[in-house]
Amino acid sequence: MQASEMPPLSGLSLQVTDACNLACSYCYFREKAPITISADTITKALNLLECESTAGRSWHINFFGGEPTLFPHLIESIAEQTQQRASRSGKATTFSMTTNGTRFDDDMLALAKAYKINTLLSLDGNKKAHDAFRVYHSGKGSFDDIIKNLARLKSADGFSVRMTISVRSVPYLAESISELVELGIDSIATSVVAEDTWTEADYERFGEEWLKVAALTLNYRLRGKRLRVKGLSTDYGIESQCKSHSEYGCGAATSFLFVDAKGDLYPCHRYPGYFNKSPRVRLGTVFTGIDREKRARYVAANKASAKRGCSSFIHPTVSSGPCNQCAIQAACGGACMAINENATGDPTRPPPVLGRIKQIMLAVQDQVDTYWQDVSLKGNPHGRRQAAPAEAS
Amino acid sequence: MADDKPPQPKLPNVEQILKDLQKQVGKKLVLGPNVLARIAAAHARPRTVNLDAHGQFVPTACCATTDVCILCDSGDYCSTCDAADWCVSSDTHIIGPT
Repeated sequence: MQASEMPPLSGLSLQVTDACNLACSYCYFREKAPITISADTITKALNLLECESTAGRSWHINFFGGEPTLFPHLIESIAEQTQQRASRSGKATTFSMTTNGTRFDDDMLALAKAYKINTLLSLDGNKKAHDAFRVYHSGKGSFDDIIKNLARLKSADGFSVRMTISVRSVPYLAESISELVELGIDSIATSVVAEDTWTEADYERFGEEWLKVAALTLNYRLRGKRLRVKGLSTDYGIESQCKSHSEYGCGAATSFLFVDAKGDLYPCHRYPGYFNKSPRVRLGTVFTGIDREKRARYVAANKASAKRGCSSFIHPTVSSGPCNQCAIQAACGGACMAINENATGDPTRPPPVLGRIKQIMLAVQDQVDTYWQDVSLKGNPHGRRQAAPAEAS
Repeated sequence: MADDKPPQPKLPNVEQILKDLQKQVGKKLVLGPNVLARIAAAHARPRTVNLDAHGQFVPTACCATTDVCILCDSGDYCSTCDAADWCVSSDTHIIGPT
């Protein structure tokens, strides 16, 4: 791919600080330094975004860490500067933040509200599941401290929970989601630890648990309420989820870059973690600019057509092929380049875990579709399925 | 006083729903040939693509699920990105209002 053919950037993921007050056992940032992003790095990062974006597109800034809420004044400074610059260029801005929620006090909520920062809380389920992984440096679990802040977190814009599913937490999956729902959390995104070794028994157990989650979601919907669990929908069926093949697996290197606290550029936030900030995966710095040749390599690697498929490839007539021929590519994305490169050494070669998990999720979705069809036929007032967005237009 | 509301159907609880789902699916959760054929048929149908005044893709037309993206309020979470940011379900991963 020619450097001139690269898609424009529409956002940056900025590492406010490398430091974190937690020491989660599965964190891919293995070595953290107590550094924060400097004023100069912020300015240069926004210069870069301004140069690399195109007219008519909004900008998005994601606040990442470490733990970004350790330094709220830096979040405020970045948000303010971004808004000022964007408004001079006639662009809209959106913000998001991934937080561990342990420091979400009144001031942090006010800041999140002032800049409409969509807040994603990392919460791995109930106390048992969460505290097995997400602990302070002392080893103490962080669940209780998050729950103290939950009311504030829930009132932040776009509040949602991101639940990491590892092999060890699979047995608690359904009870975890059930307990989160009891806490008033109704939007949950799940993310599977692809680095784990998943056995057939693990996949089977995951399927059993996911079916229980489906039952919970259906129970809610039958009562006219909504529980949004990523990968399960009572509105749009499996065909809708698998309908459109995506051009890229994700936005890494294509529409956004990760800027670490020192100003180094990476395809996404996972790269400096998995590869211990190796220059091999660095795409330049905000001070010297983007290494266009390296970025072009990652943009090309992120194309769905470039991804080589995995052993979970599925298709009605052929048994193997690249990701863009796989029936579930639209829902799977061909794994992420960082996971691929970390697991197989090649950003275009996915490990089988994510595709396999996605197939199980979609198989459960198919059962949800069948159940829901029966409910609709029986005349439950909440059982009418909406048209999918593209079908409605 | 007469109650004008129609009688509400008795709703199943979670355990009953789970039993019903298990009856359908058994133990093995796989995508069968019928589902794959339906997905293939969905792929074959022409897509509607919305472009804005600058010719840029507007994601709402292609987002696959109802999950509300925390960034653009119209898309989906990237299935693997733990910043849950750029949308895996839209071709160009445009975020924010267009």
